[in-house]
Amino acid sequence: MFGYANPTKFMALSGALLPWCWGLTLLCLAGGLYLGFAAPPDYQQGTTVTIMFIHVPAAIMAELAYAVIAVASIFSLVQRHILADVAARAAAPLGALFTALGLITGSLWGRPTWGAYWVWDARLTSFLLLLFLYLGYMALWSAIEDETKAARAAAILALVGAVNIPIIKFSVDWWNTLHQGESIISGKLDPVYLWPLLLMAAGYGFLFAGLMMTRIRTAIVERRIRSLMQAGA
Amino acid sequence: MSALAAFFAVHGGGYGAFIWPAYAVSALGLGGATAWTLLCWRKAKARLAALEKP
Amino acid sequence: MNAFFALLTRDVRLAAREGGGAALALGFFALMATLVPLGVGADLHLLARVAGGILWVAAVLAALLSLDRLFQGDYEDGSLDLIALSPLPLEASALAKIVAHWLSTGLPLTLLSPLLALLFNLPPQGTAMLFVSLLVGTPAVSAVGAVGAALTLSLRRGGLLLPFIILPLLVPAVIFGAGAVSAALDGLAGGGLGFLAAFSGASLLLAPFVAAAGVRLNLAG
Repeated sequence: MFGYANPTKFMALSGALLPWCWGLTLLCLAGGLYLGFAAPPDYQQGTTVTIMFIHVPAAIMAELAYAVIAVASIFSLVQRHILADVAARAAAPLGALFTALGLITGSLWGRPTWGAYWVWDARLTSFLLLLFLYLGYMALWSAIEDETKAARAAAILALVGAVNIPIIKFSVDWWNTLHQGESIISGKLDPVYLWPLLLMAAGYGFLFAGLMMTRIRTAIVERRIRSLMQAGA
Repeated sequence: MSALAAFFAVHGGGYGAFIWPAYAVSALGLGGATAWTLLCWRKAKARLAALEKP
Repeated sequence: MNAFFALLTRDVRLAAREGGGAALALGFFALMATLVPLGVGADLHLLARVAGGILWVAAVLAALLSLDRLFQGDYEDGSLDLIALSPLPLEASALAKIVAHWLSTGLPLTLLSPLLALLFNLPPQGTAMLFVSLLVGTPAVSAVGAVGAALTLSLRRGGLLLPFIILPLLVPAVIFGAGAVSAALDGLAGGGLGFLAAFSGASLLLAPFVAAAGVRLNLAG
C-alpha cells in the first residue's frame, strides 16, 4: 500500500482511477437525484424529505473528511510522509465545504419540518463546532510559514480535535437532555427513500475522492514546479 | 399537463421555497469546488509543461 | 522534583512581575461581568439564570488572554531551548508551566467569581457551584490552552488564532461547568461537575505530552 505513497506511483495510480471516479460520481448523483425526486412525499415531512438526500450525504462526507485528515495526520507524525501532509491539507477545505453545506441544508430542512432554522440539538451543535475545527485547522496551516512545521503542528491539532470530537458530542448531548431539546425525527427509513439516499451518499463520496486525488496531484505538480524553479535559479 | 408541470406541482409550493435553495446552494458549492479544483490542476500542469519544455 | 518547582515558581513570579498575568485576567473578567448586564438588561431573574454561562465564558476568555505568552517569551530569549535541554523532561516542564499559568489566572479568577456572582443576583447555591466548577474546570483551560500555545509559539502575531483553535476544544468544559451551575440552581444533582473533573483530569494528564511535542517541533527548525 505504501508503494502508492510514492508521488510518482500516486500520479500514475490516480491518473488511471480518476476517469472512473468522475464517471461513478455522475452516475450515482444522476441516479440518486432521479430516484429522490421520483419518491413520494413523506406523510410527515411532505416533499421536504428531498432535502435529506443532499443533507445527509454532506454530513457524512464532513465527518469522513475529518477522519481522512486524522488518519493522514497519524501517518504524517509517525512516518513523516509528505503525501500524508498533502492529503490532510487537501481534505480540509473540502471537509469545511461539506460541513457548511450540511449546516445550510439542515437549516433549510429544519424550518419547514420543525419550525425553526436552527435548534441547539446535539447533532447540529456538534456539527457547527466541527466547522470551527476545520477553520482553525486551515488557519493554522496558513499561519505557519515553514511547511514542514506547519504540517506537523496541523497534524497534532487535527488529532487533538479528533480525540475531542466524541467528548464534544457527549457534552452537547448531556447538555441537551438537561434542557430537553428537540429531537430529530428518527426511525427506520423506507426503502423508497433509502435508495436515493445511498446513491447520493455514494455520489458525494466519489466526488470527494475525485476532488482529493486532483488536489493531491496538483500539490505534487506544484512541488515539482517549485523544485525546478529553485534548481533553475 | 406536461411532465414538467406535474413535477413542479408536487415539488413546488410552500416547501419549494426551502427545497430549491438547498439544492441550489449544494450545486453551487460542489460545482464551484469542482471547477476551482480542476482549474488549479490545469494551471499547474500548464506551468510545469512550460518549465519542462526548453 | 526541585527543577519542577523551580520552573513553576519562576513562571509564577514572572507572571506576577509582568503584571500582565493575574491583574489583566481579573480585570477582563470583571469588565465582561459588567458589560453583559449592560447589554442584556437589568432583569435580575434573567441575569441569575444566565450567570453560570456568562461567567463561565468570561472566565475562559480571561484565562486565554495570557496563553500566547506561555512559551513565546522563553522562545524569544532562548530560555526555551535551555528548558528543553535540561534534565527535567520537557513534559514535566510543560506541566510546570500549565500549573503556573493556572495559579496566575485560573485560580485568581475562581477567587473573584463569588464577588461577580453578586452582580448577577446569583443565589448562594449557584455561587457555591460556580466557585467549585471554576476551581475544577479552569485547570483544563490552562492545559488545553498550553497545547494551543505550543503549536503556535513560533508565530509572532498569534493574535486571535490561539483562542480560535482552542475554544472549540474547551466547549465540554463550558458546557459541564455552566451546566453544573444550572443544575445547582434547579436543586438537581446533575452530573456536570463529575464530567468536568474527568475532563480536567484527562486534560492535565495528556496536555503536557502534546504540548511538549508542539514545543519540540517548533524548536527543531
